[in-house]
Formats: sequence, structure tokens, C-alpha cells
Amino acid sequence: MQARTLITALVFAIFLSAHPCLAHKVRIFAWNEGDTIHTESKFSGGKPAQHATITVIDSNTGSELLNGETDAQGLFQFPFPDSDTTIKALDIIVNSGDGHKNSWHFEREPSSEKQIISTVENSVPEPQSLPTPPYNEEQLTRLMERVLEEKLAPIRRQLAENEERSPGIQDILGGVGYILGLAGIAAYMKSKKR
Amino acid sequence: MHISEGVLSSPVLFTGGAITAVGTAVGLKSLDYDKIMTVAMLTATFFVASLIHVPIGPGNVHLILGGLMGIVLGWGCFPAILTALFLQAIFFHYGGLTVIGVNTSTMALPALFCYYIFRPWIKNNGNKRKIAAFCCGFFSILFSSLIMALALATTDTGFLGVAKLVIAAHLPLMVIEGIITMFTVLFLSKVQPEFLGIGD
Repeated sequence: MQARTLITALVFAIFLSAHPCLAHKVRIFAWNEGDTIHTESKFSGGKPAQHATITVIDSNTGSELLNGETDAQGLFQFPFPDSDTTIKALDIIVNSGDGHKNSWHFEREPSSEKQIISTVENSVPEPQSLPTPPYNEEQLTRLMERVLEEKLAPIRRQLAENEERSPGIQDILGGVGYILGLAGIAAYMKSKKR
Repeated sequence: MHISEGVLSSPVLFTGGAITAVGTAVGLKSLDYDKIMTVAMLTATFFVASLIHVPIGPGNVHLILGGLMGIVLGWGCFPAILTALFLQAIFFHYGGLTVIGVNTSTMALPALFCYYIFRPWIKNNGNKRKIAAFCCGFFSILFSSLIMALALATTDTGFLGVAKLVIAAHLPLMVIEGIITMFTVLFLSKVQPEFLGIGD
């Protein structure tokens, strides 16, 4: 009885003291809010990947653009490397240092700000009878865009996060089925040899 | 315990692949007709156990059960772990096909070690069996961590850095695996001793 109490106490002590970051893999996802790109890195199971190395490379040339380290929440953000407008897509690589590595392909949205403005201008007819507002249309568009970006960011994050689902019961049962099937094949082969 | 693709250098990948190939060949050869279902059952257990994350304390843990596989299957743990890892790699992208050799070796070599060291003790009834089963679970994870650190020694974190990181992360799991292996072996020895290959 004493031994059991001791074991229970030991188990609890270990659970409470240590920070296991056991995982099959690390995953990273990225979304943008305006010109800032946010990334979040997690281990499978949901624990954030803290102080993992992030490397951003140009997808086309493979050259390294910038690197950094995730914070305690597994977050890392950087401005889109705008100095070079030829960059269309980025590969964001996370390496947690314990043999886990993953990447996220980030594509710059094809529609540039100017296009949006021009379409807005075309679609909205000039109000003639109304008094002119204290702000011009360009300012209004920019303001709306900023608000939209702010509102869209959590949705983008959610979308990016959901792109990779964790294994469910069907996957697990499917795997078990495969294993039993393989055992059946093995048994058949062995029985033929007999 | 799954090393991702693109982390390891090709000599390490090749070594892991060679060890796995030899181990699997020996394992399949030693596999007789009556043992196939045992191997399949433990493969399924391993496959499922490492998929289910149990949120305890501040993090998540999942079982590996390498020690249990080793002590029951011996060399048979190689094909068993290889199969389970293969399925995990193609279904869930855990690890990857190029690193499957290294990952299999990481988990199967300690299992085999446990088989040779602790197997004789399991046959004895009583406390010796308990201790051996616990050690099986405990040391299989410890050695797995060490092998993993060895495989990652050539990366920029270095052997000591990785070893510290991995062992610290797996320390709770060592104890949990030890306890679970102990209870499983004790239970099996009472209910189904022939599963363990011991005639009680």
C-alpha cells in the first residue's frame, strides 16, 4: 500500500514539474494581416513550439530572407520582405531543434492595393446629390481595408490552422484494419509454406 | 520520437535504413506462424498508443510502449515498429518515408536491448518481474532518446544539446511507460502467460 502511495506521489510530482514537449511533429501555419505575416508553431497535440528557429526563404530562388525565434506562445511575426517586389511566395520553415521540422508555403495575394482601389472606384458611382464627406474616397478605401485586414486576421488564422487536421477515430481504426490485414497476409504466406 | 524529413544527413539515414533492414529481416525470419497475431496486436497497440495524446499536466504525453514490444516480441519488434511507422508516415506525415529507417531503429534497438537484458527476469515470478517490467518501459525510452540525440548529433544543436532537450522532455514518459509496462506485464502474466511466452 505504501509503495502504491509513493508511486502515485512520484507520478504527480513528475507531471507537475516537467514540461514534456513530446510530439510526432511540429507544425507551422502562417497568415497575413496587411503586410505583416504572423506565424504560429505548434507541436502535434497543441503545445506551442517555444524558442524554435524560424527561417524564411524565397520559394523561387531558395535564398534565405530572414530568420528568428518563436516566443513563449510559439508565435513569430515579420513584415513581408517588401524591398524586393519580385518575391511572390515564401517558405517559412520551423525547426524545433529536437529533430522536428516543418514548413508552410505562403503565397502573396495576387490582388494589389491599386487594383482594389480601381475596382471600388469603378463600381461605386459618384454620388452627385449628396454632400461631399470630409474624407476623400482613397482615404476611405484605405481605412476600410485596414479594418477589414484586422477583422480577417483571426479568420485567416483559423483557416490556416484547420488546413491540417489531427488524426481522428476513423484514421486510427483504418490503421488498425491495415495492420490486421497485413497479419492476415503474413499468416496466409506462412500457412502455404507449411 | 519521430524525426522529421530533411533534418538528417544521408549517412545517418543510410545507417538507420541498414539497421532497420537487417533487423526486419531477422525479425521476419524468427517469426513463426503462432506469433503473427501477437506481432499484429502489438503493432496495432503501438500504432494507436502513439496517436492518442493524453493531456496531463502542462503538456501532452503519448505512449510508445517500445519496452513492452521488445520484451514480448524480441526481434519481431523490428517489423512491427516498421509497419506502424510506415502507416503513420503515409497517413499522418509523422516522420517520413526517408527517415523511416532511422525512426524504426530509434525505437526498435532499445526494445531489443530490453529483450536481451530483462527477458530472463520476466520469467521469474514476484518482485523481480515487476522491476524488470518497469525497467523495460523506463530504459526503452531512455535509450530511444539517446539514439535520437546520436542521430541528431550532426545537426547544429549538437549531441549534448539535443540529448538534454529530448531526455528532459521524455523523463515523465519514462516513468509512465515503466509503470504501464509493469502493470501490463503483471496482468498478462496472470491472465495470458502464453502471450508473454512464459509457462507459469
